[in-house]
Amino acid sequence: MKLLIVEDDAQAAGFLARGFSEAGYAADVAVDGMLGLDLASKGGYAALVVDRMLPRMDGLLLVETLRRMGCRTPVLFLSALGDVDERVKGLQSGGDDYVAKPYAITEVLARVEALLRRGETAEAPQSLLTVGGLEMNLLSRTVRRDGEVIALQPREYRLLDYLMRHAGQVVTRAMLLQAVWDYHFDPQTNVIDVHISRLRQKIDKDFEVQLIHTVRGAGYMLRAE
Amino acid sequence: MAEVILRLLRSSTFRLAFLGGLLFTLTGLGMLGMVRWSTFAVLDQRVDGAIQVELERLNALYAQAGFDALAEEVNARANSTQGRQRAYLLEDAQGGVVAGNMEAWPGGAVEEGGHLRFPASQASGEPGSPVRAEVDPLDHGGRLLVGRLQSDRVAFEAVINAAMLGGAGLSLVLGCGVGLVLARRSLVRIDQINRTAQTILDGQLHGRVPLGGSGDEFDQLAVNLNIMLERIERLVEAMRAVTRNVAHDLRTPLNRLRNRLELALMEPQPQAEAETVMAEAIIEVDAILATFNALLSIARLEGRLPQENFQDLALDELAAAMAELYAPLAEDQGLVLETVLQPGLSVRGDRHLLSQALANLLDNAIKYTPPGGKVVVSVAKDGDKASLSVIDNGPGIPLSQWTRVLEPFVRLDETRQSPGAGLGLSLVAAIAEAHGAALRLEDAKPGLTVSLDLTLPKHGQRINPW
Repeated sequence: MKLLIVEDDAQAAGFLARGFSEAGYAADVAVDGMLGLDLASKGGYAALVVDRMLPRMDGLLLVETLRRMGCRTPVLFLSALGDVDERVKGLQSGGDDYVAKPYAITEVLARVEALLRRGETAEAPQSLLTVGGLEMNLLSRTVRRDGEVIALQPREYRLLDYLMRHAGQVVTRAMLLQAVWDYHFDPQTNVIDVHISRLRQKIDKDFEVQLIHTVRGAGYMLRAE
Repeated sequence: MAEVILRLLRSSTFRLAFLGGLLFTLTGLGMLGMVRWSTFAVLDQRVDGAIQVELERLNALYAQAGFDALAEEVNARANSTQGRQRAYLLEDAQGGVVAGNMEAWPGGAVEEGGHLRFPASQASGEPGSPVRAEVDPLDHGGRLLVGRLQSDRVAFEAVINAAMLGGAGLSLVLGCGVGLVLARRSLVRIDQINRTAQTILDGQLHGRVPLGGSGDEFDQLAVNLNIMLERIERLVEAMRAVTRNVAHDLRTPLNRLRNRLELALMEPQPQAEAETVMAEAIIEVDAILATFNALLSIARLEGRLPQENFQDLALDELAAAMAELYAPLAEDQGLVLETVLQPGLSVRGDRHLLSQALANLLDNAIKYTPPGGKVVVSVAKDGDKASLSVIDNGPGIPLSQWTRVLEPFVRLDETRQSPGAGLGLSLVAAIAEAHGAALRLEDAKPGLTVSLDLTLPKHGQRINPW
């Protein structure tokens, strides 16, 4: 799978490309909006990472143009403007997600992976999520592990739901705060960690195999092994 | 000196005063002109009446007694004492002068509404005075001229001309004079303001415009300018303080980071340890970035928010959601997190920002309240305000520090052991201000209450904080 990074800061783009290659993705870099549009419109990319401020063609315009051309490739915006309304503008123009600068490479990786997987999972409406021995019945809203029913609070259920839908992927704290609580800010203390440890208590404590893993410097991952 | 006069003449006050004077002058001249015209009309009418009567009598005499009797009567009248103020001239059919006090028919006489006007040199009276006369042709040839010397008209004309000239001159001079005085007065005040502006341009931010003390419009301007200057000075001071603090508070962790990396480079380390150093370095950098982000958020808020992102927010729901997020954290710290939420209170605001403010307050309360304590999130109606409060029963903060804690980078924990850069409450204060809300600290006895007093929209009306 190949990605396209449209970013005028060549060094930052280079770091991102290296980050992606570590994760197993090849990435091309375009240093301005026109080049980016040119490359992206030829197709063949699994996802685009687009800076908002670009020479020759603004990132918003680039994505708007692509969308008008019928290109559905998922887009992650990068921007120094971290305001909520900037985020909204980015999403309105056709972006799929938004990361404010300064960003952690792990955050960008995690979000791009989430975008890449979204296409796969969204296709078939599911009624049952399974990861290892963990089962979530979306209709009856019940969770079982190895057949044993686990009682969850509504918020814990939503947290687990998100983790299971992104099983095998790194999920950052900011992603969880956005997806589960709909907050777009960084709390000073890590409130999310406490919620995860509560969930861990219920899901993993009495079992030999741990499903919720902490990924150092990035976030969490739910996986069978 | 010439320059000063020139400045005065160029000033708008002078121009205005001069224009006023000119207008006044023209009005005065117009009025006097009207008086002059109507007075002359009255005078002429009276003279015309008298002439008419006299002509009728003389005509009657002519009809009764004939030409010679008329000539005699005309001469008698011309030579009487009143004759000096009158003009008579009787001509026979051949045009010869027969009687009267004029040597010849007046040359250069002006015809004026059936009357003649000519100077008195051609009459018997005082030379120079105008004469107004009427001429009647006689039945059998010849003509009779009867006139009156209008010396009163001359006198009146002199008076009114003098009045017009004098009045115009006086009001022009007064207009200029008053204009100059007023211009000087206002220029003095304007110069004071200009001098103050110059002082401030030179970097002396404490300069203020002096007051005249009369409470006039210049004083009002000066007061407002001074308030503005006060605010600017305070903002600049605050900015300087923030810059100092930013420099200081960022230098410390950056230096620590540098030393950490330096040591890692100096001491050959196994892979695992090197990784630990790098992970710690990243945590350190994240803390620095968080400080920058908080500063940026505060700066953005101080430029005030576009209200497009404002929406109707049910405060109890907003508070309940945030309390739910923080409840496990509080519990882990051995604290009880309670909510006392009055339903049905909604305000217009930015959900993300108000949530962030509440999150910061909860962060602080949980951080500073010792285990076994209690933190309460409350939403309550207080008059026309809705208070969103976080109340803890921790150590609280000393009264003397209440204003200080709202300033950026101020941390009462001088050892700076606990995490955070001391920007949390500053950000809350900035968010409060962006919502037109008051941020209130109270002694919870024991502990601290921090409240955001948000304006409730009046019934059926959307709030507009500015």
